[in-house]
Order: sequence, then C-alpha cells, then structure tokens
Amino acid sequence: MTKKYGMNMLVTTVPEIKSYMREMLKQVEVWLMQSKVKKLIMVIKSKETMEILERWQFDIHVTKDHQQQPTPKPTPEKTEKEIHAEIQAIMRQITASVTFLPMLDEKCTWTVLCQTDRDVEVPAEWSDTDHHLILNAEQVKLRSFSTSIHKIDAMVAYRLQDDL
Amino acid sequence: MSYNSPERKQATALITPVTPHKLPAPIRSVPSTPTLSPNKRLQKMNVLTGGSTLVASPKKSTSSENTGATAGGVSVGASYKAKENARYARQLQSLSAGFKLGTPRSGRFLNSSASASKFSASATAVATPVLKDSNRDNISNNQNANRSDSTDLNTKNKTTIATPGPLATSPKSVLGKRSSVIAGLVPTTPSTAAASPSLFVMKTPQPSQKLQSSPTRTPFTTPQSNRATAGSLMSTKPLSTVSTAKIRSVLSPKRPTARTFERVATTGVLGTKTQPAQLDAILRRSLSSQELKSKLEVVTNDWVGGNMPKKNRKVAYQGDRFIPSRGATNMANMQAKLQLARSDSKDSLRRHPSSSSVVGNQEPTDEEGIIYEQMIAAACGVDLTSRMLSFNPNVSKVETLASQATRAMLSRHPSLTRLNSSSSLIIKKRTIPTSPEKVLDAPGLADDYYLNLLDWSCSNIVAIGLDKTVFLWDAETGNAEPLVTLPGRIDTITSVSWASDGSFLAVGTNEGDTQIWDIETKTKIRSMAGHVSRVSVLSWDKHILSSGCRDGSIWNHDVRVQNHKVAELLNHTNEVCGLTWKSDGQQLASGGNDNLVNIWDARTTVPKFTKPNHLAAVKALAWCPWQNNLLASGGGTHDKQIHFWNTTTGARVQTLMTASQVTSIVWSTEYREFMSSHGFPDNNLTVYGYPSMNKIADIKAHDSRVLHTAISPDGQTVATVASDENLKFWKLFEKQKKPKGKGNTGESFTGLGKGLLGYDDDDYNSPGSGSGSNRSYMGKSLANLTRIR
Repeated sequence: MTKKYGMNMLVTTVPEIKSYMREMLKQVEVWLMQSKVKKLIMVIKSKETMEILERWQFDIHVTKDHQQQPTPKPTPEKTEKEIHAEIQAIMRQITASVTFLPMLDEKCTWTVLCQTDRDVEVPAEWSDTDHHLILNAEQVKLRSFSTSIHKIDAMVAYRLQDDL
Repeated sequence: MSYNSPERKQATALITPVTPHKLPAPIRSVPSTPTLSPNKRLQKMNVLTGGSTLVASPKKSTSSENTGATAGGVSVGASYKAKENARYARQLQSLSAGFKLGTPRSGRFLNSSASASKFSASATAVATPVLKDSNRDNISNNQNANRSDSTDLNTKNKTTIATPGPLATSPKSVLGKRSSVIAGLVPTTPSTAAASPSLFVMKTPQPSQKLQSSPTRTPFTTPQSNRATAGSLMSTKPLSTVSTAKIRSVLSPKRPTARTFERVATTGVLGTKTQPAQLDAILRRSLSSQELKSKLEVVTNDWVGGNMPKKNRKVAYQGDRFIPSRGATNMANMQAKLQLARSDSKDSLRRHPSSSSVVGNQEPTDEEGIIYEQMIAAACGVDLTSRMLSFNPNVSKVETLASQATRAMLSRHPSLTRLNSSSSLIIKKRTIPTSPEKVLDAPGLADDYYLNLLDWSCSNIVAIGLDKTVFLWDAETGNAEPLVTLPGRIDTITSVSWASDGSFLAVGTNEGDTQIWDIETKTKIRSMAGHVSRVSVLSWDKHILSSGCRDGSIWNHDVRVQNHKVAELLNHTNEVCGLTWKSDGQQLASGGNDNLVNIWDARTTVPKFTKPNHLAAVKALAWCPWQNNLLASGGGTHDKQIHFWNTTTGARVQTLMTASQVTSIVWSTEYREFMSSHGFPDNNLTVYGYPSMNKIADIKAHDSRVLHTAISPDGQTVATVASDENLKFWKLFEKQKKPKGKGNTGESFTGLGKGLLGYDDDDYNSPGSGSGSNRSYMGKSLANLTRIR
C-alpha cells in the first residue's frame, strides 16, 4: 500500500514482478521522452489457452504545440494537483470497472505491449508481436487525463461472455 | 475500403495480369514525360490513379471489359506497334466521334469502310487488342469485333443508313458538338454514350492526367462534359491531348483544319447520296490530306509536348485528382508522402512526423514503391507507421525455492484447490538419489564421443554396443545376452537404436552398414549398406530409419521397401553425431561435428532451420515431451551450453550455461525437468527444472566422460554409460505415489507426482494417508525441500 495521487494504491511486493516492471518501464520512459510511444497496452491472457481475456489500452497523444513552440503556451499549465486528481479519477474508475468486467476463473497471465513509431531504437529484450486484439470485444472507454505535454486516453476491452 | 468493395476488387484487378483476350482495345501508355520509361510511368500512373480509375468505371455501369481494358492497359505497356495503332485509333476516334453526331452517319462509315483506309475504323474499337501486326488487319478486326459486340450504335447504324443525319447544323455548332464529343465528353445519344466509354477505354492509362487536362482544356469543354469525363474516367490523356490539339487546330485561324471538319461534315451529308465507294474516296482524300497534317500535329504534340503531362502529374500529386470516395484513401497521409517523395526530405520530415517514420526506416527507392505500398496497406488495413512491441526479458536468473513456493501458493486459485483445512501449503518432498540404483559392467566400450551405443526399448530391454557386439540386457529379468557380433576385425558397432515398438533394433557399423535385427527371432532382417563411412547415429520414425554418417549425410531409409533409401538430407559438413525424430514424426533434429543444429521438416530435404550457435559438436539433442516444438541441444567441450529452440518459429527460447561438455539431454516425462549428462571435466549428471533452469540435482556419475544415456520406458530411471566401462542406472524421476490408494504399485498412479514444482497441478490431496516414502510438509519451511540423500 502506498500513497500516491492522493489515495492508497496497492503495489506488488513480488520481487520478480517488480524487476520486470522496472526494466520494462525504463525503456518505455526512454521512448516516451522521444515521443515515440503511441499506445501502452496491457493484456490479460488465459494461461492454458493463451486466449486474450482483457485488454487495457492507453493511447498517448503528444500535444503538438509543445514540439514546435518553444515559448510557453498562453493557456495556463495544469498544476500537479490537477493532474493527480485526474489520475486519481482514472484509478478509481479502473478499480470500479471490476463491476462489469467478467470473472476470470482460470489461471491468467499478463503482458504489456507498447505500440511505437516505426523508427524507434528497439533494445534486445523487446520484440515485435501482434496486436493481441480481442474479437467481438466489448469496449469501455474510461476517463482520460492530460498534462501540458501528453494526453492519455484509457480504454478497456473484454471478451463478451458466451451466455450474455 | 471494405474487403469486397468494387474499388478494392479493381485495385487488385490492376495488380493481377489480364489475359490478352480480355484486352479490348489498343491500350498504350503515353510517354508523357521523356524521363521515365513508358512502362514505369504507366505503372505509376496506374497505381496513382488506379483506385480512382477503376472506381469510376462501375459508376459508368459499363461492363467489366472496361475494367479489363484499363487493367490490360497496364500490362500491355508501350510497344511501338501499340503506340502507332493507338495513334491511328485516336485519329479514328476523333473522326468517328465526329461522325457519331449523327448515328446513321457513323454507321454508314462503318459499313463503308470495310476496305477503307486505316482511318476509317470505328471508334468503338474495343474488342480486339491492338497488338496485331498491320493496322488494317487490326482495324478490320476491330470492326468485325465491334460489329459483333458493339452496342445498339452499330445495329442502329446498320439499319439507318438511308436516313440523313441531323447534320444540317451549322459547322460551328457541329464543331462545338464534335469537339465536345471528341473530347469524349457528352455523348449525344445513349448509344454513343454506351459506346464512348469503350471509346475512352482505349486510351487509359492516365485518367488522372486526362482529368487534369480537363481544367486546362480549352473553353470548349463544358462543365457538364467535365463531369461526364470524370465520371467515365475513360477518356484519357492522349485523347485529351489529341482532342485539345484538334480543338486548338480547329480553333486556330488556320482555316484548313477548320474546313476539315466542315468537309467531313459535308461529306457526311454527301454520304447519304453518294455510293459507298465514292464516299470512301472522299473520305480518304479528305482525311488523308488533312488528317495527315493534324496527325502530324498530334504526333508532335504528343511526343514533344512533355509539358502538359508533367503539369498534369504535378496537379495530380497535389491531390487534385478524381477520387470518388475520399474515404478510401488517407489523403493527408498520401499527400504527405507524395510530397515527401518529391520534395526535400528534410522539410517534409519536419512537417510530417508520421511520414518521417516511414521514410526514416525504409529508404524508398521510388515514389511508386511507396505509393503502392501505402495503397496495399490501406487496402489491408495495416498500419505502416507504427510497431507493436512487447517486453521479453531473458529469464536467466535462477529462481529461489522460496519464490517458487510463493508462486505455488499464489497461483492456487480458490476455485481450483480443494478446500481443506490442511491444504494451505502442501509440498511433497522428493529425493533424488546420488548413487546409482544398479551398476553393470560394460567392457570394451569405445571411448568415442561421437557414437551412440546405448538405447532402451519400450519393452524394457537395454541394448548396448560394445566393440563388435551388441548386448541386450533385460531390465526385468536382469539377463544379458549378445545379439549381434560383427564379423571381421575392423568393423565395430557405432550406433544402436530401437524401433518404437521395440521389436526391431537398428545397428550401425563402422563400415557404413545399417542392419535391422528382429528381436524375437534374433535374426538379421535387413542390411542397408551404402554409406561411405561409419553410421554414427540412428533414429526411428515409425517405418523410417534415419542414419547419420561420418561424412555429414543423413539418409532416410524406408525399411519396408526394397529401395530403402528414400531421402538424403545433406547439410552437415562433418560427422553427424546427434539425430532424433520428434515424437509426432513431423520434424527431425540433427547435430553435427560442424557445430550446426539442423531442424528438418519430415517432407523436405532442406533443413527448415540451421542454427550455428554452438561452438562445439552437438551430440545432445532432445525433444520436449510436453511442449511440442521445444528442442534442447547441447554443445561439446568448447561450448558447454544448452540451447532451447522453438522449432516452429526457429527462435532460440533459452540458453543454459553448464560447466562441462554436454553429452546428452534427457527430458523427464514425469516432471517438468530435464537431465543433462556431461563429460569433460565434471563427468556428472545434472537435473534442471524447466523453464526455470533451476538446478535440482548434480550427481557425480562416473570417473570419466558420461558418453551415452537412455531413459527407461516408464520414465523413472536413466541409464548412463561411460568410458570407465560402467553402465549405471539412476532413479532420477521417481514417480510419487498418490496416498489415496489408487493402486499402490510403484508404477501406476496419477496426479501428485509433480512434487515440489508441480504448481500447475491442482489436486493436492491431504497428506493424511501418506504412504511409503511420501513425506509432506505443511506450512513453512520452504527451504531445502528437495534433499539429496
């Protein structure tokens, strides 16, 4: 449990997961700085069948002005507080999404994908994969938040249950 | 574009070659600019405008022959004949277009021109490809074809010869009309309308250019005609240039040309009264005199006037071209990239960051390439500008037992485990003995790394080749007896391999002979010679026996037929020392002294993958029993590595560094583990978990290199033999008994056997009725759970 964005957040304690996330996010950060990341996707798959059960997609848009105008924008920049509040809202929404997401009874595994521009430097640990899309998915668009540089859209797609 | 949209179909029609007989008309590329070769330009134009070109045609509700014609135009290219013919055809077009004002007239001329000059072919020369030899033949063919399959026009014409046409109009209006018709715009009659598309089809390939030329055309072109032109998309640049040329010539103060049309008109009028022959003569005279001139003009314009087409093309690039549905193309993208292709790359890069990503990586060699690619990508819905990446760290670190147990705990889903008060954390202890279960004597074993002298049949008989003799040891009875003794002095046994049903034993010899022995009768069934040197390794796949030779060749023998050699797999350049078929018989893995691992498909004689990763000879090869496409390969003294391969994709999944020469790898069927046997310098056996690479056991097995290993049919015992002449049996993968009495014999049971690492096994029973050697620990004490006695 840590406090971030103004509320208690649960963080993993498993060291392997921590190191995995650290390594991965390091690279994602590098790409973000270069404004190469278009989307970050987290996919939850069934362990046995490798079928995609849930897909969380975060689109990252870089507000262009930032690139071309060195002078500060006339519009007021968002304070950290505001940004945190927006993030908090998204976090709450994600947590609340458990109400409509289907139950996952089987053993699952997750993976994180990153959609980037073509001309990125790809280190050895990263490889090209497919999009991990869900067929006939139910999509729910979540809140988005923006900073002075980026705008993030969040969306979750999940497989419709057969009996519904 | 939807998958089945007409646009896409036509776009693909563009790409697919059109059979000649479909070519309805002389389609040629106009060498609009002298710089590019006609073909290239043709293609480019077609690609550029392909979508638009062909999209328009359905709107015209014309037959597919138009599409075919257009597509055919692509493939025809610009041959000299085609150009010439097309030129003539254009002439005819323009003329007959004029004639079409009064349909009977054109019909008349059609009929009369059976033997007429080249100019008199009908404008609807759609049916026949122009790539024939003489113009005249062509024309007559065209005529005939036209007659056969043209629209009402001809029939009407045929029938209405007598009636005078409505040519009693002032020359000027005639002119205007004619020019408009020439321009290929508004057809005066429905029949001409029907005919005109085909008319225009002849010209193709640069509808865009034509379209561009429409605004640049003279004021004779009415807006309506423009639209019609756009709609038809069939009138082409050549036509337009011709027409514009004509119009210009018409408009110019040059009287003679203006008179041309007048005369033609008048001849048309005359035609009603004169005989066809006379008409012919008139025609010829007028046409030849004037037409030649204009033809020359036209030709000049065409060949010299590179300006207009160029201009047109530029206009096209700036996006001013006819596209019926803008949604079909990503215009911004396309424009950006088109501009990119031509303009300064730096500027474009700055302006269009998205396109820079395309240019940055793949240096486009030509604009057409890019555009073509983009269209395909758009058609297929593939995004060219981004990549999807996923993080695959190398799992090289060794997991601790604690973490494993934690994972076992965490992964236990409440719905999957039996709710039991004592089932919170149940770990079964498994012990791996470090001393052999049994030791046998193996005198005379050749101390040669490259041979494969040990195999264990499914009927529980161990075959071992000692010098000249193959001994069979029955594991159940403990009896040993010799099976084969090779005659002579030099010959020795170099490999043994049991068939899958255990009834035949294949024996390879130093002389290159491969023998098949029947076990029941203890007789030699077959001898398959032919190898030039010793057969160092054998592997069975149903009725196919693969033999690896010292010269690097692998032969597949079908043991049922007379001509047993059914395949020769040649890739290794040095001795083949590792050879093993996958259990389903789909793939064959081979390793050689040339440090290569080859993965062959059952049906081919060319390896699917060749892996040079090892730095020494690859003798250790083993397919994973629980994962279909996983192959483990181990390298020799200088390599000491075990590589894991996905044989479907060819990817190296993992690598394990060991401390000594790897002589063999054996996968456990019982546990998710494998055992590797080593030679220099440790001479040991190591048991690892997979995919964790966790070292479970390390056993000092022999005093010298462990040369060969074999696993028992029940998967529990591994036999190893070394050059210290000992054959030892190790119970590495002992199956653990299920306490709830499902048959208490050591062999038969289910479930619990996964032991410590079996966290994907979900029915852990309560340990209450543990029997035999089972000991289970509950709760804590996760360390040291696998003790080695």
